[in-house]
Amino acid sequence: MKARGLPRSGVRRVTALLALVVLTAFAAGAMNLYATRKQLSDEVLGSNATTAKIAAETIFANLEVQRNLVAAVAQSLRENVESGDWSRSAADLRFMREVDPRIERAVLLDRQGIVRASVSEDPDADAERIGDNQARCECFTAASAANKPHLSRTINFAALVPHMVLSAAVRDAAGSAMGVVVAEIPISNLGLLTESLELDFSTRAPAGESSGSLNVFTDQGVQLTGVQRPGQSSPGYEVFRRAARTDRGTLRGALPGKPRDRLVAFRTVPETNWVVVVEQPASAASVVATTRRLVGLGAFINLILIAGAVIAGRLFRELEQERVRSSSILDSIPDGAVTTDATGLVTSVNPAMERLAGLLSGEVVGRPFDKVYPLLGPGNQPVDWDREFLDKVVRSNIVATSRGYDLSLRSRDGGIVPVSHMLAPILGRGGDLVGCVAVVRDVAYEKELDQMKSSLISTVSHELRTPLTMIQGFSELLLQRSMSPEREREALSRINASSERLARLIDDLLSVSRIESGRLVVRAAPMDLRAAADEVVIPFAEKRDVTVTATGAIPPVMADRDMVVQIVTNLVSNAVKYSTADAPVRIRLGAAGDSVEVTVEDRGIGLSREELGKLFQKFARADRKEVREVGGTGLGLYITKSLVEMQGGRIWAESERGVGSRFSFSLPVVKPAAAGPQPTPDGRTSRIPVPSAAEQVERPPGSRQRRDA
Amino acid sequence: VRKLLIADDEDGIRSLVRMTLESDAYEILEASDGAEALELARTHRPDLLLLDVMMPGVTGLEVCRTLKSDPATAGITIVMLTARAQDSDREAGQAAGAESYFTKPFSPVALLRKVDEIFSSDLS
Repeated sequence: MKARGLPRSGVRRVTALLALVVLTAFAAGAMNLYATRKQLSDEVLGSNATTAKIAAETIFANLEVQRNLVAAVAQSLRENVESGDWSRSAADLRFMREVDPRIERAVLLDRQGIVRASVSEDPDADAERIGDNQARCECFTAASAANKPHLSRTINFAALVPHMVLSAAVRDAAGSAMGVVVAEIPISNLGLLTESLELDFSTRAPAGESSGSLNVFTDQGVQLTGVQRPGQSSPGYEVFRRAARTDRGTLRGALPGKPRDRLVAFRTVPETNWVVVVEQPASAASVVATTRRLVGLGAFINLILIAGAVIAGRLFRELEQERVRSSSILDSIPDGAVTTDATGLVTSVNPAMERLAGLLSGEVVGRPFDKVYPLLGPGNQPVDWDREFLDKVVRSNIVATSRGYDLSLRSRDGGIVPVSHMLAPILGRGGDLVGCVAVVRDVAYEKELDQMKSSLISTVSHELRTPLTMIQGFSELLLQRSMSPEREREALSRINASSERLARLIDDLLSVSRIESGRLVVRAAPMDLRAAADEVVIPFAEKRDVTVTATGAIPPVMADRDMVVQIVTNLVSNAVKYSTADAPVRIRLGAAGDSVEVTVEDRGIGLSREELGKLFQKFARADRKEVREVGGTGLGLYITKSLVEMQGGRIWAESERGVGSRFSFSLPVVKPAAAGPQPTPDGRTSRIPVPSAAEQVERPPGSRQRRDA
Repeated sequence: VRKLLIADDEDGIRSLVRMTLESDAYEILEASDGAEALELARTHRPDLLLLDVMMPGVTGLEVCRTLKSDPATAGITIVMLTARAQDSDREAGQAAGAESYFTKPFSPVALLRKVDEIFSSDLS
């Protein structure tokens, strides 16, 4: 939930703290007015020096506050910049301006120095700046290279409002710069700061002499404060030549804009190219010096400013952590989550929702939920979201939930995703509604399952009704009519066949149920596949040409004999069913690596490529007359496949329509190295519950047998 | 003699219908899928078609629609015969143009009564 930024209360705390700092500074200035006036012309220079020192330290401390802020924001932007999420980054920049309103514009540059986000009071100007290349800007090059926030040495005085520019690199875990956060602060703010420290230089200066002043210059002599239009450079003055060599000093000399010599003290501001210059008329008869009082006050102001810088930084980090905690919950859940305000305007979205709807948070935040996320009801008719959900939540503070699988969401690309939707109120501390949280879940899979369930019930009911119709119909005819003995016999045999068919269907359904619920138990033991196959074909061979042949020696396999009999019976029965009475059915056995393969081959109707693909699915029956005519539940091969795989085997089929089919399965042989399973007294191994067929597929063939051994 | 065509992919059902309706009054034809039903309906013009809905290939509903849209066969009275008993299936049958609907499992006596009823109303 990054788009929301920090909790409002946190912002208020930080802003209040900063306000306190500034107020204290103003108060200090005001108190200075009452400072004792003392005429100490000898001490003027010394007094000026002290004033300059305090001013320089104050400016420095103030800069530290802002540097700290820029650094903290740069750090918090790491994740968003890493993922290239510029819209969320803008929210952090907005926060930076909320904390320190003196920052007129906050900008984020990417790795190449391109403006990706810009935040100020003027959204149009911000939009224009997106895409600007700032790669050659000092704010970009120096911040990328430095490990700490950088104050640009160059100031664009040609700009309407000249700015000082603070910038800090956004670094990845390895420490390389991925982008730069830039804060632009009008120089006039520096003037406001120095004015708050303004001393009451004597108004009793001799006629024609201007009174004293405190101003900030760059080391090139460009005056930053106390002038209408800063920008003119005056490097020739002695004070700047001295400042270039040493960080402090006093002198008697000329200053830009002052015709006569002045008593000057200067002090450089650490980590900048700025010089604080305090001066008074050299000929002043009376000089107000407020030095002693100021020393104490200045120290106090500095202390507060520095504490403010430290606390603001720490607070920001704490709030950031809190935000990470609360956002990580919603960001981590796989369902789409959207928060709105009480009127239904989107305030944030999580990544899952962005994926679901194909809309990024920047595209939806601030817009009405029902406009950006069109929900569709039955028949893809639009749903009145306000009435169906929002009104209920707003009116009674209850959770509004969608039912069934009729609801869907139209995503950006026009796709329709079946969803469930829940809207819950977010209550403020006083219990009043402050917003809503919507959870939108993709229910495509559940809907599919539901449809499969309906289709299964429909299929089963059809499969049950058909034999039932015959039983009911023929028995009614037998009871109500006198028929010829041949007709009676036909009716009875139909009833008999239908009963068998019903019994088979019920058996198959129960098998499927047991397989799928994992209740079917494999009783694996070493067994002779050849003997089992021979036994299975006996009843078939009475009517048809069905033979079993083996290539080479057939090693014993580890399998459940009852299941093997069922598998072979199903395959042989299919082969017989789907071929003409004179067509042969061949069963072949052969060892292949560490398993035995059994192949059942017929010259029957065969299968098309499409039919082969669905062969082993539940209730998959070829939509063909010759298949329908032979009857069947469509469950046999599904069960057969499940039984084979349950025992660590594999099953596959090859076929050509009109030519015939070849169904094969393999079962793993008993491992010669192992001692073999210890048969229980009844000749079987211990019972092992078998997981469902679906889980079973994941298991590599033979693993069950190794476990048994 | 009335001609009656029974179309069902289950030969047991065909046999049941035949046994039920067998008499001097009806000549009974059998089709085991939709395509065969269409062919027999066109060549023999039966008076009544008992039509199973779920058949492989061309379904009963498609057979019904096709026959009803062809002026040559539109006069054939069609009774849908199916194991589907939901209202939506009944509506689908009606929409396809079937005159009546019979649900499996059915009583042969009821079927006979229904068929007699259809033919007697035809006469009047």
